[in-house]
Amino acid sequence: MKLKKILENLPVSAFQMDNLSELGELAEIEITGCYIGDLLSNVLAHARQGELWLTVQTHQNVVAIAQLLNLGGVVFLEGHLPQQETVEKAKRERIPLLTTQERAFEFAAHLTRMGLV
Amino acid sequence: MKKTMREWAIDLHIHTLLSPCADNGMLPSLVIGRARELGLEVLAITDHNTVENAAAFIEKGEKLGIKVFPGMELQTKEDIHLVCLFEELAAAYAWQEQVYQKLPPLSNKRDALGEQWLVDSADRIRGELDRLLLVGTDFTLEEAIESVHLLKGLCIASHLDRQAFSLWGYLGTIPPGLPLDGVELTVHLPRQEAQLAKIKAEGYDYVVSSDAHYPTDLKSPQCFAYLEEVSLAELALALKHQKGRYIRTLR
Repeated sequence: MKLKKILENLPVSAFQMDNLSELGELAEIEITGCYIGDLLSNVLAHARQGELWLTVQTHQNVVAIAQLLNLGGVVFLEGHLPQQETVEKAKRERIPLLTTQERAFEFAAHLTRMGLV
Repeated sequence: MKKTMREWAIDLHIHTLLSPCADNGMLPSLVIGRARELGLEVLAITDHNTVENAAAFIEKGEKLGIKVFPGMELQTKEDIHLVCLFEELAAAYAWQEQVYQKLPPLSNKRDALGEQWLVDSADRIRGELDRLLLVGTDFTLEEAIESVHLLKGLCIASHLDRQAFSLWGYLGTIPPGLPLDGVELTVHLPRQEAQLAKIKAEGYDYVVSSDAHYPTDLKSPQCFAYLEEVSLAELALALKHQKGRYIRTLR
């Protein structure tokens, strides 16, 4: 499923761009699954390439891990906003950062209803 | 006159009965007395997000010939624990003031989390701190280190080798360029070659501290700092293995 479809259908906004069109080629990223976690060492060990990562951890190391594992993007849950360094790093490294007011369970449930398993 | 360099037996991470998770036996006479019996020479008092018991332990230390630095174990926004050390009480109090501004204004849940006792140097209870201490502050890791440095303090990443509340556990790596002064490993955990190599590559001599919450956590000296004199400036050099200063640990 393309990231674009998630952005169009779920209560989520792309953080580093003002609107969907500015996501450019990032909106075309293929999301292959979902991983949820806040302990980065654990995420590093268990998340898989292409997955959309749901977390409340906002430190810039989030971007480092997303990049290292080639994740599809990061969703900050429950209204958490990434730190400024995190946003800048994500822009440089071309990692999509999204925010939502939803909780992990609700957001993941949306994803499965859309057909992501 | 040139001062003589020597190794000092140090334990830079000790809780008191003010930390809700610590034993009520962690009183000045017990901690300082036990440290002296064990042969420890330099301690730091590091309660969670507060320094309010440090003065009592410093005073007791002066009586029994043990050097005690005022400190705090800060919990950052990322839930990372940082041991923050200060040369003087005034700087420690100034830091505490900033930390209290960044703590949620909640009361301790003493039945669930534990009691938070304030004490004087003669082990007399001064009162109970109502403020919730066992919680993350709104300081990011970077902001915290910068603010501690402005007060001429040092920041050591707590129990790097533990999964809970540690830099490695929660952020995976030490963020590049983080101006951390030192790193701490746990007394009882296995030393892994890969981890030690990473610490060395970052330029640190790790310390091993007791992180004592109970009297029985205080152990015979595990960690030694080779210094010209006991000061934070000298410790800062040793933590980074600079100018002939170093940290040596039993393991």
